[in-house]
Amino acid sequence: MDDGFLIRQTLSGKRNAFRMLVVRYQRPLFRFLGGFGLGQAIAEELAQETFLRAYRNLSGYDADKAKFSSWLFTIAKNLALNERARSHQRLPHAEAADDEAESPVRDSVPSVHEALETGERRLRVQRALQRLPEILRSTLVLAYLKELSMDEIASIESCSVGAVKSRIFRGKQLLRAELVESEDRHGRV
Amino acid sequence: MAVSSLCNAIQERIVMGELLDEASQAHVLACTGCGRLAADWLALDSLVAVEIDGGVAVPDGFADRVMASLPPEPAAALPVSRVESLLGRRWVQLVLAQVGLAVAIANLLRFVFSTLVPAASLGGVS
Repeated sequence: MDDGFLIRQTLSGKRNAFRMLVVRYQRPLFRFLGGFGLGQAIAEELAQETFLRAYRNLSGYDADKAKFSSWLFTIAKNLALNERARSHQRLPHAEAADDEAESPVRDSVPSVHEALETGERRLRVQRALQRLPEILRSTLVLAYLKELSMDEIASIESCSVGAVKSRIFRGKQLLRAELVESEDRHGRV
Repeated sequence: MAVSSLCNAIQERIVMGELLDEASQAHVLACTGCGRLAADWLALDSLVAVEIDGGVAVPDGFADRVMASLPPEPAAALPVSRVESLLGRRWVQLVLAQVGLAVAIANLLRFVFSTLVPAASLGGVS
């Protein structure tokens, strides 16, 4: 069943059709929000709000303008950016504390084994992602989802496919530089 | 020069995370520069992919929770939004404005000819 069919069914009053859309997109949406460095609790809240807004505005969705996935991720992206802006306002001068507060590692309570094996490395990757400029991080995370085409990412980011490619390249370069620097500081990655 | 442009094309695809065809993969295995770059970027990609995959998880019953939070009648808003979208169109607004203007002028003329002019003719208006 394609998205268009499920949307039409939802609009005709069949709520179960929307459930199928939720089930289809919940995982990529959580991965996307996780890539924004949002903790488990906030990611859950934003994912729920994303689906709620999509449902409320479903009658205004225009399939000719964008794919449903692009539309959904645009809602999620705007909510995530608002949340990040709010959290930066709450802690304007404490970047380190902000990193800690938004840490999914802290929220998800990893096992001891996990923490020993990957916790430190993940934290460094997470912090490197956090340090990327907002515009690069958003594009890069969308690209890493592997669920969206370049055209869809361009639609979400409101830019050209060329700009998406450029942002991915610059984002990866910055990420790599950040991780190399982190490796130098800590002796390993 | 041809080799260099081939390397550039392949390296661009590696950095973008695109899948390489068999010929390009063979080149990466044979070319030291491309091989080193591929290993480098693949390591980065796998680190970030692990972070994104493992960052947050979909909790059990999430879809149920979403469905419970939805308003009961989503599609009921559809006819209203069609009217709203029709009223939001420029040409509809122009037509309504013209009709409104015509009615206002007609009312003014009616007032002038049915009230003011007869009253003036009777000496009621100075």
